[in-house]
Amino acid sequence: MTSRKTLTQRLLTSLALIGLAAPGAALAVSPDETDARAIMQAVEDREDGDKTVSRMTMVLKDKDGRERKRSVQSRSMDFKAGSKSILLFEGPADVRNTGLLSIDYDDGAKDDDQWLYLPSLNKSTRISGSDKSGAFLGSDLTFADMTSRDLDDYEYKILEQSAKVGDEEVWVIESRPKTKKAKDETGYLKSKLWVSKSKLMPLQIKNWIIEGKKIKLMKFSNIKQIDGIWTPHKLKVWTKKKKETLSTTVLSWKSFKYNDASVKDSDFSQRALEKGVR
Amino acid sequence: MSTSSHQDAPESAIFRSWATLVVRYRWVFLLMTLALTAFMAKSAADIKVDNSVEAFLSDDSEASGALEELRDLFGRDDVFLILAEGDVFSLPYLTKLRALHEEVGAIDLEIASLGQRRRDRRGGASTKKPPEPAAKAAPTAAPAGGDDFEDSGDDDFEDGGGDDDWAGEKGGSIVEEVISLINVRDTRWEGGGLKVEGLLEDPPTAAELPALKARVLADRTLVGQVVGKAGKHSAIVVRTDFMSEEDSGLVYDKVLEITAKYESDDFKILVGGSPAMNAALNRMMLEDLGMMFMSAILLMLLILGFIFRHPIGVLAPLVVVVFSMIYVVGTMALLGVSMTMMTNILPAFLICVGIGASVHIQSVYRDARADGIANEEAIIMAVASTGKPILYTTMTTFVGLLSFRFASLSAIQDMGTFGAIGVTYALLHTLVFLPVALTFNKKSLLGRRSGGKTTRIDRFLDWCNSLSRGHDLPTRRNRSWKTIGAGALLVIVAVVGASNIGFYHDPVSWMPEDSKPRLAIESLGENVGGTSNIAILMKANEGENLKQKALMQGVADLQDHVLAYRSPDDGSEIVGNTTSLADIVRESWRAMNEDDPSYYVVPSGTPDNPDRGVVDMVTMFETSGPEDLKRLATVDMKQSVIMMRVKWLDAYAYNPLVDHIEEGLATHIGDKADVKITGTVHNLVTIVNSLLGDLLKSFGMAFLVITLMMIVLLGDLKLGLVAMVPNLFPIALCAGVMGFTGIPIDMNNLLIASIAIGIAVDDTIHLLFQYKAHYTAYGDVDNAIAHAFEHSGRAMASTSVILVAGFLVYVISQMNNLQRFGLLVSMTVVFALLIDLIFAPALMRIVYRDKAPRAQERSPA
Repeated sequence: MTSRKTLTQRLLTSLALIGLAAPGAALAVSPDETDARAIMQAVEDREDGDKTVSRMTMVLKDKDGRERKRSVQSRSMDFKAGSKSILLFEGPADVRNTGLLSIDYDDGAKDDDQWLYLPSLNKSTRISGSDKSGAFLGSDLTFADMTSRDLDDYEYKILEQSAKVGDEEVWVIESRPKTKKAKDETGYLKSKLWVSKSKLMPLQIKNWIIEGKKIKLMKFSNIKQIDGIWTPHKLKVWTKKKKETLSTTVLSWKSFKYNDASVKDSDFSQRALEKGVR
Repeated sequence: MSTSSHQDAPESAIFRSWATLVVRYRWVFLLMTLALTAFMAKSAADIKVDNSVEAFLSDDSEASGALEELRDLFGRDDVFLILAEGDVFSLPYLTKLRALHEEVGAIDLEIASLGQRRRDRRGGASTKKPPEPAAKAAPTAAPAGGDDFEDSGDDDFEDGGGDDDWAGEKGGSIVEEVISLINVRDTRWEGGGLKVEGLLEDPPTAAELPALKARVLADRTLVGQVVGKAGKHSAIVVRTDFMSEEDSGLVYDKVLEITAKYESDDFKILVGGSPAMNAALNRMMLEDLGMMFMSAILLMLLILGFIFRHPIGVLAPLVVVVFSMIYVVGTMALLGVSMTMMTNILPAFLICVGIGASVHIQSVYRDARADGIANEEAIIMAVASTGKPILYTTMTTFVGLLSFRFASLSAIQDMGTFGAIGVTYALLHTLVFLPVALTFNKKSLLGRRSGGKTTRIDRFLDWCNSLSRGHDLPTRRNRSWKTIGAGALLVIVAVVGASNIGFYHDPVSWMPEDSKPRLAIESLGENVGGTSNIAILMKANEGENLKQKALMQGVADLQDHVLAYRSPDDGSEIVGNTTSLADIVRESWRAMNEDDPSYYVVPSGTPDNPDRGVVDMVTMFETSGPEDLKRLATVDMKQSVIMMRVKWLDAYAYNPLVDHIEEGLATHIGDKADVKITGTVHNLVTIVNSLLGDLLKSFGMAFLVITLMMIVLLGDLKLGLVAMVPNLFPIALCAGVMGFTGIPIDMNNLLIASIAIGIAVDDTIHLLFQYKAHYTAYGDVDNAIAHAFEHSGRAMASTSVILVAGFLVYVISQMNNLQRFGLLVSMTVVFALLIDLIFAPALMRIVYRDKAPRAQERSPA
């Protein structure tokens, strides 16, 4: 399932995965399901769509309200051995046209390919290396937050069979890594997930960060059905310590399209990367 | 010499009434005192200790403000540093290093004060921001189109506000960050591409070690940060969240416990860094406090036993000072003021300063008892005749101590405030508890010898007086002038010596030379860049950010300028390492250009945008090392910090370095950005540069106020002014000794001048108060002096012995600064006594004339 993903791999694949898309019909488990593992398996087995095109803004704020803003456009598509993604910075003006291209192989043993395009170099550079902090674009999100997890590495239990997030009925499930590897990968001691019974997706997640004893809260909202797939258009993340908010990140998707016919293989080339924002 | 003069001593009606009241309602006063003491003792148990550099500075000082800003923006700047000596580039060493790195990074302790800043604990302006308000807006559609970054609400998190903390959950680490060779950022060109990862995230093989060694030791961002130049030392940098000094001590213990498991001949470990040093100093201070307190008590028992020879005579003065000490520590705890390296001298100080008043009262009391006066009347008489001078001496000591409020350093201010409060408590207990205690003495004369028997003290006093006493007026004046002349000569010599005094502040030098924290700091300085830091806070000009080529180039040039600094004394390197955004930009640019060292420069960008190279390198870094970036720049890239690791030196020795940095800032940064220097070193420099001003301000104020008080108290302008002359002598002599022996002025002995004048003046008051009363009544100078010697001389000598013995207790302290302080104050007290007994009478004999030719025959001595 989850391979040891490098920074850019995660960066690129995340945009598709963060959609946490799930089929609008044919739920795999009943709302009365009491087996936490079965519920998580159903969440994991969702269809995540193909040939996606999206535009997103990200606002990162520190505890004093200082901000960093980014707007990006991305495309991704599956291929036989894995997936390809391209991410181009649209704004602000000083970072426009910076781009990242990733070819992510399903085979964990095979190194992924990533290229970074920086206009000052005027050429794309292949990059590699493991992700030290695991943070997505310097935000509160780690790539581990956005990649699928190997369910066998975690133990799950239902904390509440029926609870509410807003008007939605949810299961409240606790997940704890069973292995050191899983613990190291996420950096979490445990997580608590509020899983929608109707959409089979987490509506909010609370993570206990081992390093520095912090808490990370994630809330998905503005959830809409696109091509029959429930897709959240906003994600807010808080990193807190002793009730003090250290930083927040808000990701907002302005557009999200699945199965876009304009997505083609040639979009995922170094040439396309160097061409910049279209 | 007659031994009974209490009947000639002037009495105060107010003190007579007070003593009568206390004696009559002794049980009420006793129970009230005991109840209040129990309350204060309970509060005193909560006293906190704080030896951090910041504890010396007031919270609203500019230096503290800059340091708080640094911490607000970039987190804790003071870190634990674990130094491991051995063959760094060998597999056994690196295996151990990795295991130690991981174990330290996983430290899990229950830390109640986690996240609390010093300013929060002191009750000052809170550094905490109010929690972000959760928007209650209903879900709305995401903004569509354009560069609209607005947050659209949906901030409610079910269960989010209830238990956001760990609520007792085990397993998290209180360590925010651990950096060592294992995970230090490594940006390089490898396998035809860019690689960004922890340096040794994948353990190296034996074959890779020589190349690794060559590469690491050639990297200026690593040498002086996590590895020594020779490859024989490496450091693990451990950054925890903010916490109290006490809790920091718990982390220090845990780090020591962990490192002890890894210690071996080929992996020698020392633990240093500011938190370690502070924890070690706190511990020494607490040990010293207990030891010095017990030693002072034992010493006082012996001396009081020798003088008063009865349990009440011995225990009553002791209880007075112990209660005073409990009250003052209790008051500090109630007000949330921590014990610092300055206020820790208070307990022993109060014991020796506070006991003097009791000795004076008991001396008069036992004389009265020896003359057959009933017990209660003897108590009342002793308080009535001694009350005023005791009040006056307390007031002068109070003023001497309170003068420290004029110092700019908060630790010195606190010492002044609570010292003054302490002597006030001592006065209250002397006037309440002591008379009550003496009512329980039915028979004892408290060691009073049978009438007329001359003691050694009497003979000593007589000798002092005889130096300026003559058989006729011309001889008397001749001798007095000679005595004064000898004194003046001594003072001139002392002033010459005093001109050599230097200033010095080095908390590390307070620790014994073989103490492990001191060795760690020294070794870290010699081998891995040092333990101190200087930080330069940089703020972009209005409307700009820091991602500009010209500014980055300026920062890079400034770093080169600072790294080139050498000690003016021995030419050694002082700055071990510097870190800034410019390093990230340069190392990324070098890596993007296939590790070609010639690309370790600030890139130029595109033809139409010269800043684009810097922007791109920062953007690349944002995606790869956000935690590193958070330590160096704010998210909006408008504020940044340049961190410099420097060797630990005496604070005064940093002055030329700070000048060098300021010169570099003017040359390389100029008006490209707003800059502010801060960090531990800068605060040490601020402290040491405040010392002379603080000394002059506090001593000047003490001298002025005490002179005015002397004039008012003695009711005589001439006597008041003359009285201050002998009080300057001991201070000049002490300064002379310091100058000739090379003892510099530091935080502790800075106090001596003001404390000494507060104490020395007590003897003068006792002496001149009696002199004036007798001279006013009879007009005979010699007899008035003889009367003053008789009434107060023995008590003065006794209190001086007590003070000397009491301050000598500091010599047993583990800390060198306290040892020096004790020795110098003791010496000054001896000078003060000798000068009061030798030069003050000589001065009186010159300044005053006998009022009538036959006065000598009429007046009693």
